Amino acid sequence: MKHYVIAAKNKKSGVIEHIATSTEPHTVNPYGDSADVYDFEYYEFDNDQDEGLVRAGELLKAINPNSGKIKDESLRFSKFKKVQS
Amino acid sequence: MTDYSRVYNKSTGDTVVASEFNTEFESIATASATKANKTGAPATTNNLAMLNASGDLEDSLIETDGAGEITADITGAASGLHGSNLTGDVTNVDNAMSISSGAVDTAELASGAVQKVKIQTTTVSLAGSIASFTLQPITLNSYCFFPMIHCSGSPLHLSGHATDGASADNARFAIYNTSGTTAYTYDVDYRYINA
Repeated sequence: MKHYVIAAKNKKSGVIEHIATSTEPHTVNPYGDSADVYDFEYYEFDNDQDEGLVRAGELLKAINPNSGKIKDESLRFSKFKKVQS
Repeated sequence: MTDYSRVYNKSTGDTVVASEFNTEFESIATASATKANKTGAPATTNNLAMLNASGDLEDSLIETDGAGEITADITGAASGLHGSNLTGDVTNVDNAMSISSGAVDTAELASGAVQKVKIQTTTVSLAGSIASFTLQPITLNSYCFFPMIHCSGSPLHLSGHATDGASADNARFAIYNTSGTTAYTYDVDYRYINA
């Protein structure tokens, strides 16, 4: 199941502090009102285990907060890649 | 279709010649050749008649009560109902029914007919860390259901959003970290009805 991700990266620290996941393209940026604090990056991945939505908290633990790369890519985060907004 | 018209029109006792017989029979042949052939008895009395590829009558096998109501199943596709009103109940639509452009007016759904599985929704999951004395505003999709909000510590408080969304379509709130020393994490999961 394809997942769409918005990551809010702190402009000062360069650390991803917030993540939003959904199985549909995001039509609302939940952190859009904090655009003065965050830069937004967009990612996609497939959950090849087809077990429904991967919660944002799980992804937040699995992602490197600085590089935006998955620490241990597995079937849960298959083909994790950064995409244009 | 040509109706048969009598050609021979003489009085009693007149002599009939062969050419006049020929003319008369040709008239009959011409008229009968342009008429639709009658079919046999229908499978069920009052079945609707239809025209086959030759223009002859055939039994459509669509049963009626003879008084304007279709009384038996239509086994094929009921496509192309244009400008007609179905005043009776339509029961047992076993296959998908597609309305390509017309609106469904004054439709009455039975109570409880729209169940949650029939509503197309999308789930969004949010998570993050909120630094001390920081207010994190969060915006949700329109037509959303009340979210699940989990905070990792009691210093995180639910708060109003600093900006007035001015519309029910701008669902928003904020989470404020009242701790002066520690960052806390949160999880928000919610559904919204797809456009």
